[in-house]
Amino acid sequence: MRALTTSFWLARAGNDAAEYEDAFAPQKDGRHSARRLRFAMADGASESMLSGRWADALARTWCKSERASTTDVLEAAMAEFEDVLAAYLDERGRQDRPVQWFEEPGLARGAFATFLGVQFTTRRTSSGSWTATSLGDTCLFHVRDDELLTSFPLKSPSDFGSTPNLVPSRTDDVEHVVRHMEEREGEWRSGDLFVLATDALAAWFLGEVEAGHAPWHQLQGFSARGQATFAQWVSGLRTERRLRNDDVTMVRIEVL
Amino acid sequence: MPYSAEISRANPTCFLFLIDQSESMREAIGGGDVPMAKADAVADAVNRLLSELTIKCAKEEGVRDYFHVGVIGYGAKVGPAFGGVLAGRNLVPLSQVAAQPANLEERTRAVRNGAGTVTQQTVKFPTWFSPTAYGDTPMCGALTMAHDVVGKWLAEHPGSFPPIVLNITDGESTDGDPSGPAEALRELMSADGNALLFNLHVSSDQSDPIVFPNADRALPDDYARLLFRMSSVLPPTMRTAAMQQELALATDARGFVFNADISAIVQFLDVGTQVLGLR
Repeated sequence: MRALTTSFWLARAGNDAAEYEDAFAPQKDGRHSARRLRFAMADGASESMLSGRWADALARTWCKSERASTTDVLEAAMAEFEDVLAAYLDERGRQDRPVQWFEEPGLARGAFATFLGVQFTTRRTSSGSWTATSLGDTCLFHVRDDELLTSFPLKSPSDFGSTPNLVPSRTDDVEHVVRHMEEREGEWRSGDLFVLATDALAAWFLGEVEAGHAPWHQLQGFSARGQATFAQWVSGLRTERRLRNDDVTMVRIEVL
Repeated sequence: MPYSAEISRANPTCFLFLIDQSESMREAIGGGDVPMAKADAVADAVNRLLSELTIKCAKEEGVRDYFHVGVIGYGAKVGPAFGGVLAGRNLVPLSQVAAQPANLEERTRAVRNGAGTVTQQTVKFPTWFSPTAYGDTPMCGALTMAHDVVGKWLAEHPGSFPPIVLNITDGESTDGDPSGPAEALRELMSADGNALLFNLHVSSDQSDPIVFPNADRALPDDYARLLFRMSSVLPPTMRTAAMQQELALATDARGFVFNADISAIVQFLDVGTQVLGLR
C-alpha cells in the first residue's frame, strides 16, 4: 500500500503544548509505502498522571509490533511505561521534588488512555484489507467516493461522554482489557481516505455527518504545512462551541 | 445549556463548605457499626471531599486550580474556618489548599484498578480540620456569609460554572428558619446557571442512609425535610455523570444526602476524561 499521511494536533485551549496528552504514531508525515502499514492514536485521560506518556507508549508500541498479538503489544507498552515512570520518579528525586500525597493515588493507579490502531495489508497494488482495534472513543473514519463507509467504534455524537473505556498502564489482567477491545475489518482501495481522530474532533465530524454534511472536505483542505491554519480553524470551532475544548488530533491517510 | 461551562484554570469555579460546629455535634451519628460523634463525621466529610477534589485535579506539574475552595464554620461564631497559614481566607486556589494540610494520616482504603478489581491500599489521608462542637447553630448567619462570598466570586467570575455550596449540618438551626437565606443563595447566578446549594445531613436519627432523593416522603424528620427543600435539584450534566457511574437518579433528584458519603459529587464535576472500570 502507498499512502500519504498528514497529522495535525493542538492542545486544549488554556494548556501549554507540553500538557498535550494525545499521541499518534508514526509521527513522520509524508509518503509511506509497504505491504503492511500501521497507524495508531491514543488519548491520555485528563484525570490520570503521566497519561500523555502512556498514550505515546501505546501508540508507538502498537506500530512497531506488526506480528504481535494485542495482549503482547499491551504488555510490551506497559513494561515500557513502567520504565518511563521509574525514570520520571528518579528525576523528581534528583530535583528534590518528592512525590506529594495528592500524586500518590494517581501514580499507584497508573495511567489511562484510549486506543485506536489500524493495520493495512496489501493484496494487489491498489487494494487490500484493513483491521482496526479500539478501546474508548478515538475514532477511525473511512471515506470512499465522497461517502462515509465506516465510522468506528462510535457512530453518533451522542455516543461521546466523559468516561470512555480506557487502557490501563497497570493491571493484573491484561486479557480482561483485551476482551473489551473492539475490532473492525474492511477493504481499502486506491483513492480512499482514512481519518483517525481523538474524541472532540470525532464528535464534531459525526455531528456534521448527522447534519447531512461531508466534514472530510474540510479536513482534506489543510495542506501538509497547514498546522497554523488547522489551529485557527479549531480555535474558531471552539469559540462557537461547536467543538469541545480538549486536545485535538487528526491523522489523515490518503491511499495513493 | 446551563451547567455546561468548562471548568478550567482559565475559568475556575468555586466550592464553598459550610460546617456546623455547634454543641449538638457532640452527639453520636445515627446508623453505622462504629459509634462516631457528628462533629467527627463532619470533619471527616470535609477532609475527604477536599482530598478527592485535590486528587482529581492533580497532574504531573502540580494541582491545577480548577476550583477555589473555602470553608465557613458556624458554631460559637460564623467565619472562615481554615487553620494554619490559610486562616482568615474565604476562598483559596485548590493548589494552595493541597500544599497546606494540617496533618497527614495513613489510612487503608479500597482502590479500584483499571480492570475493575478492588484492592486494599494504604494511602495518606490529609486533614485540614479537626472536629469542633461548641456554641449555637447560626445556619442563617452562615448562609448569609456564603451569599456574600459567592456574590463576590460571581462578580469576578461571571462566566464560571456556577459555584457549589455544600452545607454539612445536623439541621438544628438556632438563628431562625434558614429557608429564606438558602433561597437567596440559590438565586445568585453566573451566565451558566444558578449557584448550587447541597446539604449533607449528619443526624443522630437511626434511619437508613438516603442519597440524592427526589421527594421528602422517606425522610425521617423535619430537619431532614427542611434541608431537602433547601437543596438544589442536581443539574442534568451532574445527573448524567452520576448515571455514567451507575448511580441512577431521578430527573428531579436533589443535592441532599442523609447520613451517607457525599464525596461522589466531586466525580459528578467534569474537568476532563474520568477513569472508571471497563464496561
